Amino acid sequence: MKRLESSVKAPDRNAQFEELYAQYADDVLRMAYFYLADKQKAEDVCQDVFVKLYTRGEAIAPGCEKAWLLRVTVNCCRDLWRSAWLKRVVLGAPTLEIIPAQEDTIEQREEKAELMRAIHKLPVQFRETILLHYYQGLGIAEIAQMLGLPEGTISSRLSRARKKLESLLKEEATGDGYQRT
Amino acid sequence: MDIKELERLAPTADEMLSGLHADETMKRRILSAAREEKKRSVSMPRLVPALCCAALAVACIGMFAPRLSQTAVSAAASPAPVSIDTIAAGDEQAVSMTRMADVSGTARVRAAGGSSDSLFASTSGDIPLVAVNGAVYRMLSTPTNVESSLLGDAVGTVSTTTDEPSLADDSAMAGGLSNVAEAGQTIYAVSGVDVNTAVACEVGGNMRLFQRVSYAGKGPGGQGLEDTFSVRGQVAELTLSGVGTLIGDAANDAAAVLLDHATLKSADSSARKQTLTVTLTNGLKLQLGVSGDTVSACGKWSCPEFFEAFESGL
Repeated sequence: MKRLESSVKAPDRNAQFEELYAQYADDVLRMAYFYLADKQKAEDVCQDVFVKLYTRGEAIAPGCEKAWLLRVTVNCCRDLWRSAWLKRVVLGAPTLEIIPAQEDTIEQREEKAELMRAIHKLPVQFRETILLHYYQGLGIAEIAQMLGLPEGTISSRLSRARKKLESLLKEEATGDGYQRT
Repeated sequence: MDIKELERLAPTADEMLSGLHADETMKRRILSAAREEKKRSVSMPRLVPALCCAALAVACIGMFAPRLSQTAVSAAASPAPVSIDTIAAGDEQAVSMTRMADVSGTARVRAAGGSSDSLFASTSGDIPLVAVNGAVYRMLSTPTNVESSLLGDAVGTVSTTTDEPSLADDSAMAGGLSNVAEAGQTIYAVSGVDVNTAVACEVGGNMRLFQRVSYAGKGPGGQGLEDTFSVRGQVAELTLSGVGTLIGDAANDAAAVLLDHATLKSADSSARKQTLTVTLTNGLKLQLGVSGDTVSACGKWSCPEFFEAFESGL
């Protein structure tokens, strides 16, 4: 398996930070928001991820930057999701609010929002696998390496996540809504 | 909505979250935090010698100052009494985590309920316990009299009764000791419950239930949670105070996750904010203290997976 880190010293930390921030900060922020459904926490995660990038001693191997950033993002989100479990259980899970740009069209927006909310309602292990695969475009092998799990587990999670998602969407279509989280 | 739309999640999500930007303000904030962090990590090595000197100075003062002030003390004075701090599960008053004022009007409270009262008994500030074979068990407030049909084999006899169980030596702990049961009382296993999890012993004419806890350095040793809290497959109800109750298979599944994934954080127990009450299929109840993502009785165990499983099971 390819290692995500290299012992090569970063020639210019600021330049690397600037480049990666410009390229991936929106991905990190949106991934964290999609995971947590909390804008403030997503911004905190984004900050943590890029502070870790800036302060780490070693450069990230070329081509592995996005995977590294997403791995740290998922870990930060997991920590926050776990630490807030009681609040979530008692107050109910947060609802994913859609934040489209003002100039976006409103055609089919509600349908798309439905899909995203359904994904957010998935159990956390399914949710992060779906987000990494379908949203961030990572392959099964990359996700397996990132999460430290066998590829078969990731394939199985994806398959089960799709089935669960399908049933959630059907529930929504029949008017049951998302009463359970 | 067709599930096939999932294949188009990336453009869909980007479109629907396009109002969310990591902008220049955030970048400045991150850079500022990163530089602070960097500065802190760079300055730490310089601080180390200074901190070492300071610690040495404090240690010297601590060693010599009492001698200087004790010139009038007799040479025959007896040594200072040894203070032993002990902590056993259930010592602390449970604190309710949620108040009505905290629950918003749109909150969806599912199966909320469950008492946060401790099941662990206490008698005028003392921890009522029995110890046998080196394991310590604390008395539970319920049931007040274990039915005779639930009693198993004898596992020992109380040979020492003492008001200071924390000062008892290992042989007394192994031979049968209590601060509530009279000497000569038999300590029994409980039918359907592992002897390392709970025992029963007569106190004041009633057969009382005792649950395994950490006490005075007697913790779980190198064992897993299941070795001192063996409830797999025997759970009728699982109640997390302030959150809800799982019953039947859901309760057993969640308990299995706890037993499979719990990792030891420390040998003693700790302050708790909630309780996890386990009602067994034989009607008896056991309890763990809960704080954050840890549970405790005999040792303090971390298990975030359990709380996720509990949440999913509701």
